[in-house]
Amino acid sequence: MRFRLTSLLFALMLLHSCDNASHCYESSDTLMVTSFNGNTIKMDSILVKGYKRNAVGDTLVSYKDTALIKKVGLPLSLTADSTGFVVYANGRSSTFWLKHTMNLQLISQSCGFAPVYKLIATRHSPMIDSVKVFDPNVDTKSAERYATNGQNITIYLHLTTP
Amino acid sequence: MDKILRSIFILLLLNPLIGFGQKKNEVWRYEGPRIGIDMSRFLMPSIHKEIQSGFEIQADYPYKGNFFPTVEAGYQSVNDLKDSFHYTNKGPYARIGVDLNIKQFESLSDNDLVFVGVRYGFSRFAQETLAADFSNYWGTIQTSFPKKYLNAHWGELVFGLKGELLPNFFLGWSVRAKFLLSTTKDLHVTPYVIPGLGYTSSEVPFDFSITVSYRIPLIKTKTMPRPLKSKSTKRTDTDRDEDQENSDPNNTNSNTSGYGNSQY
Repeated sequence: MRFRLTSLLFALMLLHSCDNASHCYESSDTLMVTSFNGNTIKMDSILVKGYKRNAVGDTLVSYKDTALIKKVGLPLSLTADSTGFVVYANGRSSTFWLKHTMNLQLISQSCGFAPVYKLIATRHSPMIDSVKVFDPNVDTKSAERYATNGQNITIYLHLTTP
Repeated sequence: MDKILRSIFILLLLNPLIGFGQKKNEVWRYEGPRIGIDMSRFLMPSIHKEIQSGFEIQADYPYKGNFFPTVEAGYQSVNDLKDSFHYTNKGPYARIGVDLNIKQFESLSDNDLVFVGVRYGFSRFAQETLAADFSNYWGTIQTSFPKKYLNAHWGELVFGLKGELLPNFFLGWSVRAKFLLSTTKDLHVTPYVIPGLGYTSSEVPFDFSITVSYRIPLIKTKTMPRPLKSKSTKRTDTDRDEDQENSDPNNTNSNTSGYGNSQY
């Protein structure tokens, strides 16, 4: 019995010593998955910036070949209750706003906190035909959830032929 | 590697205790409540590099020889200071349950146990996020969340050993699989450590305990606990003859085979 106690105690302590390192293997970015739809007109380029964010480096999305873009991830404001974006497509700009709630939630011990949003309402400029919300819940798993199919919102643009 | 060396060192410190034998001249069997302390709680700060500290006491009492109703209670605190947040929680916890000895006692002086058991655990603890921050394209948010009291309930399956190293002194260990049954929801922070339960990140958290305990020898007896299987075996004429011999007060051979007198 003493042998068993000693050996198993020893094994247990060794086993417990091999603790997992605390690395973050999850996404801690909260991005609203957004798709753009030009209806029947092909988009030749698209660029997205935050509203009133015109400094160098403030561009969130910039694609020349829009055949490649199906959807993009857009970050939402941490402090305000609404977030605005300016979209440049085929040489025209348009703006849309999203009203939302925000909660900072602990993702995990290793990843820390990240914001979780719920979209409440949308507003847009006349250059945008409509904004359709498919999933109002925006969290750290949104990008993964809609990697192949689906999105949080779709922006339908009024485009003219370039 | 550092942690492994530390564990070996701690084991070597404990080893002199294990070196003492169980040599006894006493033919009596002693029983009584056993009160112990979980040494693994003191090792936690060195094993888990961060954050946990606390203590735990355990007590059990023999019932019908092989059953040990058990109570465990303790206090645990967590202080986790990371780059992007500072989280604390602390609170008491308790578990009740029963252990079943699955090893047959070999003699009156044999008190070693191999046991399986179940526990129900409960904790009421306070958690607080002293600082939390997050940055993205739009800027940085820095905030904190005030102290909030939460409850947690869980179940445990236990397997372990207890060996009597010195008269009435036991050293034992157990491994535990834990199942979180419910916890109070918090909008901002789901606790990742619960006092008494441990980490909640895996679906079935495993834990271990190393217990040093003392049995208060209240009961002195010549009775061997009845083996678990005896109820289901068919009794033969030979068994009845043996029972009669054991119940004979003039029969000195009955000391080690059981069912004799008890003294309190």
